[in-house]
Amino acid sequence: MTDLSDHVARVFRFALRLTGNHHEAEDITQETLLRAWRKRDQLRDSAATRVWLFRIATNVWRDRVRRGRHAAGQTRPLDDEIPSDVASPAQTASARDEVRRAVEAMDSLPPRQREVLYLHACEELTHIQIAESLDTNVESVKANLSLARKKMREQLAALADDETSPSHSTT
Amino acid sequence: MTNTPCDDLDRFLDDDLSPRARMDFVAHLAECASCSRAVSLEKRIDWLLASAKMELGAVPSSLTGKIERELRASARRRSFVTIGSLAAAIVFFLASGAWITWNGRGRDAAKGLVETAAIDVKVESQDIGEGKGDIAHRPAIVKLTFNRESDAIVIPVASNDPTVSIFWLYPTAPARISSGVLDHGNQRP
Repeated sequence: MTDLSDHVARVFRFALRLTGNHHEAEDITQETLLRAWRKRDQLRDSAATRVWLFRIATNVWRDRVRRGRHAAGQTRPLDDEIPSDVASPAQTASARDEVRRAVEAMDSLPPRQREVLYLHACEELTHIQIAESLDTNVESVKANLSLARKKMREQLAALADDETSPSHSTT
Repeated sequence: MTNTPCDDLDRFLDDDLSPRARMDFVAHLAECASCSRAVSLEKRIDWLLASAKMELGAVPSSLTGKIERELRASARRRSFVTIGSLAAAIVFFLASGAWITWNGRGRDAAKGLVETAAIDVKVESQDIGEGKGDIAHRPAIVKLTFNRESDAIVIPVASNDPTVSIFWLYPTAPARISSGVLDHGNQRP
């Protein structure tokens, strides 16, 4: 079984995208892991643990929204999330700035588009897995992902101009 | 419905095109600056977000430990509930046994009461089908009389077997659980 800290980190990052609030993301992570532990008998395929946890987190979040127990808020700026000393040594300041802009653009998307894009780009889930995680259908995932991509390209259009820069090589 | 090659952009990015359609779109990229720019930018955005994922692991340092403690506490609570339930069941059975013994209604006592009730039942039947076939299959009126009226309530129950009459005896006192099955073909008084 994957180490607990791995699950905690994944769920926390996803919860942060759901809630836009650090404190609430912590609460959701804790509740998600506890619910998962109580329902662990229901998990038939350990390979599906990640999607299963995301789905529980989504349900926990929805329960909170339904009860009005969530705090409105946006995610903090990336600097608050990533202390500078944990950044990759190879990462230049400009690359770091681009990552920051990309995350800020993602966090400014409407909730469902943000969730879908996060699970697609950061967790590299398939459309089906994203649909399972968010308790929706594949068509909705595709539609939201398309809208999210279009908005991201609009917001980050300037990055395309820097493509030829050696410091921005993706290889 | 796809109208122009540009409309296949999302399906191309999702790797959702057939091999032939994919080849067509790649050819289209060489001619369409807009799509080419979009694909290039999309790859860069995906890379940036993937990079962000690696670094967004700045989980509060205390969170994992806190959850670990909660999970352990939850496991302890569950064990306690299981043990508690088992203990409660044992106590219940011991208490029940003690109560029955104290009331003089242990197994033997209860058995005695049931037997006594059975003995105290007086069974009478009146043959109303004389001359109509074998005695075991003739209709009869069965009358049950209890020495004490409070012993039981008797309710006749439909029987599939014409040679068997069934009566439920609902005891009016504890430990008198019984049903009367009277084979009036064999037990005629």
